[in-house]
Amino acid sequence: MQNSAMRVLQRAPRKALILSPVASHPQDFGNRRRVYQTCEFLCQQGYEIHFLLYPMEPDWMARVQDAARDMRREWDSFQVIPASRPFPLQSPAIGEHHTIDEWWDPTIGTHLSWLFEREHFDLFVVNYVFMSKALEYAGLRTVKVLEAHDRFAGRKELLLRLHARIESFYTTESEEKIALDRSDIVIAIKESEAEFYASLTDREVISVPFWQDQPPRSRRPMEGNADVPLRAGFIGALNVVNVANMEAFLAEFESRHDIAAAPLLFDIAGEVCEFLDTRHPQVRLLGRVESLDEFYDSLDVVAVPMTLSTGLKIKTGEALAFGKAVVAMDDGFDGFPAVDEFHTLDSFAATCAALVALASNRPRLAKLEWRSRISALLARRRKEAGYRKLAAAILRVEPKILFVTDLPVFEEGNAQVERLAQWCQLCTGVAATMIGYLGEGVPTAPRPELLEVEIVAMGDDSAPQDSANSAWDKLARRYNIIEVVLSVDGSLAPQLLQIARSHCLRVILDTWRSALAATTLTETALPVPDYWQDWEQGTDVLVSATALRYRPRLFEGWRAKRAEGSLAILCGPDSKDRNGVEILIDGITNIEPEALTLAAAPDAPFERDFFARLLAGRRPRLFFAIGRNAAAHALCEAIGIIFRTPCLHFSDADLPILLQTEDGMPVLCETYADIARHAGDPERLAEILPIHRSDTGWNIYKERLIDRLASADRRAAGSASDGMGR
Amino acid sequence: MENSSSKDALSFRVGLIERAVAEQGRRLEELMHALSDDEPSDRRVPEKILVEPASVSPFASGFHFHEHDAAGRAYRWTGRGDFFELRVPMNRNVNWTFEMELRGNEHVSVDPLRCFVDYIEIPVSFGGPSWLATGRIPAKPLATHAVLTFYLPGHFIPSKLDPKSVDHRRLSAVFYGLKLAPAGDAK
Repeated sequence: MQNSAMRVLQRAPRKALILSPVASHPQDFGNRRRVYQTCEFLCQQGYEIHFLLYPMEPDWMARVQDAARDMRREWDSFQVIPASRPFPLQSPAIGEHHTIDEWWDPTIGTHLSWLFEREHFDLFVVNYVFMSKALEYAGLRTVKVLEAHDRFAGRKELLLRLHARIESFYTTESEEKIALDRSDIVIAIKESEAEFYASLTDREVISVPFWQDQPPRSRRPMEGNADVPLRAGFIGALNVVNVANMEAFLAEFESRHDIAAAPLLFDIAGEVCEFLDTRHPQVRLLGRVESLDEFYDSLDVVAVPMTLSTGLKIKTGEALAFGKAVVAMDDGFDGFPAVDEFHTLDSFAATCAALVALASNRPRLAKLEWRSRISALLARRRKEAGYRKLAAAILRVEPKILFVTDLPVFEEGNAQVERLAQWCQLCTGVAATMIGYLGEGVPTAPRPELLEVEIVAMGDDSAPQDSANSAWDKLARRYNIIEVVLSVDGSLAPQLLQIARSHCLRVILDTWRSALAATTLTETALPVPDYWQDWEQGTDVLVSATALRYRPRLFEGWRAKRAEGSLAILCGPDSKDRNGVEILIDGITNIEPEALTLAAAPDAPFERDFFARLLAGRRPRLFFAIGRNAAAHALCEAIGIIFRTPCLHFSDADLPILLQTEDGMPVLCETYADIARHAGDPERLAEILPIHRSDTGWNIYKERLIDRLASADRRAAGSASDGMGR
Repeated sequence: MENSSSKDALSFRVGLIERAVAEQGRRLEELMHALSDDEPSDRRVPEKILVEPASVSPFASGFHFHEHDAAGRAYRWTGRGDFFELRVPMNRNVNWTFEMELRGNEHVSVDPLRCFVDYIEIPVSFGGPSWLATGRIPAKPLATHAVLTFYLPGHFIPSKLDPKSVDHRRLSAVFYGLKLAPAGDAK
């Protein structure tokens, strides 16, 4: 495979919309850190971040926090959606369990409907399953990611086992499945929850464990000194799971004689202390601490005595990141790679015993600390690998349309490529679109129609087919290409068509290109539509489209010119047509025709500078498009539609044509002389020539494209990452 | 309603006679051209061809731009002149039939509709609940398209009938589509 086969010539900006009930700033809680981290990762991937906060945290429900300033500064946009539901927003379940949308606020839907109608987002990340209804508002083109944070199915049962107060969101597996199925990709915070989600849904589930690096710490002054007591500790926010676990741990801790005899102190920090009560001389309840750094610096070992909980223990990750030795129970270390037996203890008693052992065995403490650092290293790698998987999954899931062309579509003012650029732009409104370019030259500046399009070079002049094949392989592995538009010509066209069909089920041929038009003739009994061929749908419908959907930018000043005279545009004329043009020029005296060449012969390409020469001349009141090149006719007709100028297109082979005499009588024109006699009045011609809207034909194309996109099995495409459609 | 004058009948008929004469010479030229072309003469024939109003190239004259009715169906008003014409690329090695959905209205009756294939008049029948005009397109070996011309002398201008209307167009009948199918009989 040639590494040079695919070079990015132009990158497309990408936008991510984040909806979260949790602020990203300040990062003082585990879930806020997680939200921030995922946004930060997407930023690194080149996404703009547009953050929507639906505040469900007590501080934000009370007032707009100072952190709003930080969020505005950090993200590309930040908006708050005010709640319209009655407080408390985190209401208890009406039934036994919460239904998945029980906390849904219709005002979020109103906001999202408005937003998605006006702005496109490549990616929509929704935090928490109870916000998942938001995913239904995103269009087909947007990749929908559900950042689950915590498992909520079975939470009520877990709290009952802990004898804890039933609070927060609790639901059933069937309800949680509804949320998962709304997404394209589910992010689980640990492997065990990823397995659980995967058992409920066929969506792609990716485990991205939380990990946050901390700056290297200096060693604690007492470290290694066996004469001072071992300092162990725990930090936790105020929630029923933390409270229930710490109550159980303290009950065990306080009841043990070996603890009393050991040189050991246990500090508990964080708001969890508000619901704890102890008079044990070796335990201190510190409450909320101002500095996490100082708290961790003060400890020899961090304990995470947790059983029966959900989600990832951010506190465990934090302790590992600070380089601390960690003693944990199975559940407290779940999601982190355990490399010491003290990482996966099975009971509160075993946790206490481990602390006692460490208090009197400092070499063991050093060993645990070293092993915990290995665990930290592995956790960091798992997070990085998780995010890498996520990035790849997003690309795979995102449906893409690939335009493959040998025309310099990025060139503005080139009559040959204007239609292709507008076609490509139409596709960007439906799906992410990229151009695989096989020609020479590179874009110097992005043209406005293609701002959202990534352009990659697929060609290599020395071995064009090999390099195109190799580039195609790479694209097919990386992206979910749902449709290919092929606009190439020459001897390479049939081979490229073969390659395209081997990589993608839907290949649309640009029948303006003669090699592809010839192929079409061999494959379908239908007459070749003028501009494109849809192989799978509407095989019995003859559809043609205007050559230009709207006025090209460089024509902006042309309308201001006063319309005068007429213009005969040569559209692939044969010798009879050339003679005919002379007859028209001589015979039509009232609107003196001028002549301009668009295509010199029936199969000749368009003159590259046709637009420049057209714009340099007068704006006519009437176009004659003369010759056998249907594409050139179409381009002239499109210009006529845009400027409301009648365009009479024909060739000698089309004669006779029906016109009107001066007094409105129908007349068949058999010769150019007849036409010169009867076609000199633009007003009269304007009365009979058909008129079209500028997007005629393209609206059908777009409707069908949307249908195809809707029916495409994105998940299947996503899982077939090693070569789609083959 | 404004009815088109019938004074055109004579000149129109003269035009058709001229056309019939000219057709002989042109046909000879067309056959020679086709025989010298690379296109295979045994091309397959599709089961049907549908010409949608929301298309471009088949509409040669007489049509307004496409619109959508209350049911979302695309249509085009005719009325830009007494004729409307479609040029359809198709394999003329066989006979074809056509069905054109054309709806009249209280101002324009479609009964007087006349049809010409390659400017030669053919019989056209009209009726049924679906407003279908049907006719037969004779085979024309080696030719690659058919010119279907319809003559419907009648039109109205909405703004002249209703002063509140801002529609100043000259309207006739409503074209909903053209379906072409091989006749399934001998050439």
